[in-house]
Amino acid sequence: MTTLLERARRGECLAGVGIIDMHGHLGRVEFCIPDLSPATLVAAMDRVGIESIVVSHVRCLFSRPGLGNEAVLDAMRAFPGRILGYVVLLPTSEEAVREEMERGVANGFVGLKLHNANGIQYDEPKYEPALAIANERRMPVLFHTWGRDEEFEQFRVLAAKFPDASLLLAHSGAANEAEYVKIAQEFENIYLDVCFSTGPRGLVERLVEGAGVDKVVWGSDAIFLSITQQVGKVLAARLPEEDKIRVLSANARRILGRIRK
Amino acid sequence: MTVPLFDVQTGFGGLPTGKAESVALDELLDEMAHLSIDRSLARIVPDEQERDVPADNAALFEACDAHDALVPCPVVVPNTAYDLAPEEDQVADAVAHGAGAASLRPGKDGWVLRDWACGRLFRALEERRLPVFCLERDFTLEQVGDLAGKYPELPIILAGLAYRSQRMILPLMETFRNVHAATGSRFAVHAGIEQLVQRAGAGRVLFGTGFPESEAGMAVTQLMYADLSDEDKVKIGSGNFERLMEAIAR
Repeated sequence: MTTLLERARRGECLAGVGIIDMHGHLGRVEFCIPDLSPATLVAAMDRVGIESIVVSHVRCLFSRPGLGNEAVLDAMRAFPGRILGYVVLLPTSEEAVREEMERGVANGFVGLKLHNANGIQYDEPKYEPALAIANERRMPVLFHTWGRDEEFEQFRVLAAKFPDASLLLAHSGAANEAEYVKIAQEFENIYLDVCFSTGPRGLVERLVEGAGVDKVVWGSDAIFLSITQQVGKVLAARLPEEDKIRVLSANARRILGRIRK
Repeated sequence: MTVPLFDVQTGFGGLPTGKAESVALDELLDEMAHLSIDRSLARIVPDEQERDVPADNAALFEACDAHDALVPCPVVVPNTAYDLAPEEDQVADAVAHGAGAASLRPGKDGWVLRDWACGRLFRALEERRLPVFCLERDFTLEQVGDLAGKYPELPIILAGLAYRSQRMILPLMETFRNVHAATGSRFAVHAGIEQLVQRAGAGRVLFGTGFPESEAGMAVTQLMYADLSDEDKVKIGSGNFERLMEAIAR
């Protein structure tokens, strides 16, 4: 039987594996991303054989997130089923947060993405209406993380408070690797997302071994990073084929499949 | 198709910070077999804890002599304090051992990029057309541009490129024909290889992985799934570096 790695080594499209990317982005940032178009992203997905990507706009990092949600909605409409959306927002007021999340849900967004590089902590009370909606609808919530102690303290509170939401910790293992494993073992609704620019050798295998294969999901961070590069860490991992398929596809499918419409 | 791969950014033998065991040569050979990488330009890495250049180079040459798939990339250092072999001898020794490039680490090895410090070394390298391997970690891109302009016949391999550096890598490559960009490590630029090829040509992009620090498989899929012709993938995968090696004055 030809393995996924053998097929990837030949550049073969892996359509049929049902790969889902749980961490994508659209939009411009301060450094050069050579092509910002959703069409180019989808073309790259087609070459690899990636079925869908869940994207948030990079305005999760900075101002006017509503503009970002509009751009993501346009991409969702242009590529239905291929590009799915996370709502991004800033906690200006509980009412505004609730409205933006409700608008996103009504427009077919499948989850929420929060980023703390803006200096706002995840336990900011004004975020709660959006988290409550995600919990009620059993949606995924993707958090940017970098292994900081206060982040894990916040996730312990949020995972207990919103037990029906799937909390995805981006960049798992970027630092404080053992703590990611520990928190994923502690909470049924916490998942580890493996996107990370350098991809330290053996990290995917260690997260799978520590947290369990059903708790690890693949995300690329594309177009912030390269989707064709990030997929390699799973395809080339020293894991059984069925584990690679769980990380690349089945776990994401289960997380998205439990969303209440 | 299966593109032949020559990894220009890899190695073994160094002691990772916080670890008690060095990266074994067998780990590199096993990874190459795992990913069907045909040949590698090897250094002693990780090098953060490595401090004895002549001993490291000797260990590198010994390993490469024993394995045809490995081509050495020894470190060269200006002999400004007369504690090392003369620059011409270091370069001749590297070439005699079949080196495919020489690694430069000015900050780590305590020298600066000024003619009074390293002019003899660069002239010796340029005379032999022995490519120099430069990690972005150790050089500013302004310094690389200065070197490329001053020594136009010296091939420069720029590796360990950050995904945030594309804005400066492109003009560097467009301006200086002797600058080559290697993939691998943090070169995680969306559509980045394609843009390098479009702006600088397929002849100056080299395949690298960043092993053992990085997952080598990422660079493999980045190339194999790039929006490029098979011909360009072969050039990047191995052809370009083989061409640079053939041009070395041995």
